Amino acid sequence: MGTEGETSGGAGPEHLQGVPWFAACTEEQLIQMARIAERLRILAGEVILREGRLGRELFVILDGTATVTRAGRVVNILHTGDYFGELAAIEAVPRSATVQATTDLDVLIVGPREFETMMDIPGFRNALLSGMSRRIREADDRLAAYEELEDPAPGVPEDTAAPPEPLR
Amino acid sequence: MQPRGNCIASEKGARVVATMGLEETVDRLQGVDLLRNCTNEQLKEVAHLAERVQVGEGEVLAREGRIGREFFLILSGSVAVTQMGRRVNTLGSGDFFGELAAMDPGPRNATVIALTDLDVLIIGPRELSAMSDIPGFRGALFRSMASRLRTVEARLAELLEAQDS
Repeated sequence: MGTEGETSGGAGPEHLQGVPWFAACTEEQLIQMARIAERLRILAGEVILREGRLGRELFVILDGTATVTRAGRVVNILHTGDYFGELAAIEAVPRSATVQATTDLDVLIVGPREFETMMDIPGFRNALLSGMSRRIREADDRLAAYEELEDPAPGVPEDTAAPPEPLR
Repeated sequence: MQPRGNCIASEKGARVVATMGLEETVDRLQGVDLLRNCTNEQLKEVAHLAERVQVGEGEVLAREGRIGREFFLILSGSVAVTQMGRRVNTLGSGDFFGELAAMDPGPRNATVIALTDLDVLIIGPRELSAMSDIPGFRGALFRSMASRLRTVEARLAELLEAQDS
């Protein structure tokens, strides 16, 4: 990984308890996850992963804030309890976005092997699936709204503001 | 498999195929890409968990905005996917849909209509969760969702960029 973060030792289940993503996991499953994941401290300003680069780790923010950008545009702000990097963890493809630490961060880092092990934990797997479903749905809804704006249904008066350029 | 009756949000009512045996269904599943990493034993498990239904042309399997939590896997036939009345996709044999609402309870984000008579596997949210214990199925499902997420987010990013310039 290209960051200068220092490992702050192993994670304990107490670090995972506050993460909403793991809410469906039992105490035993949290202990199991804490054993296979690693904790890392990252300083404000550091780039944790870079769009287009390879990398297969999944990160969970235990404390702090990070900024997600695509082609230089801020697309999301992540906070304590949020996670990122799961797409490349699943698919082994280049990173789809850049993530930079906005504040000092305390993160949990899960490597691809550990990720496979964690996928055996139903609480983790279901939380990941529902998180991805929600993101697909949100992106789909936004896309549909843009397309509607671009090409309104018949009978809907056009906005007086200049419509966006044809997009495709 | 004991058919549990018509469980889909079909307006005309779909016909549950009670006559098809497990073996026949397992044979059908062997050609499905989503399940290609499953062993024969795992395919049997899938066939047990799912319900196989025949749906007539023109029937609505999912309606945008409505609640519904089933996951559908098309064994043969094709469907049209529409959003706000716009055709956004056509799916055929081996394709699946409904996974979003199955994983994350919420209204359907698209309408799905049978373009032909369909032979389809219907899997409830609990059964889908049980199926994701099968590594061969789970890997394929996750990869397909990750790839879909990547595609829609990339398109969204393109739209935003085009809007800026």
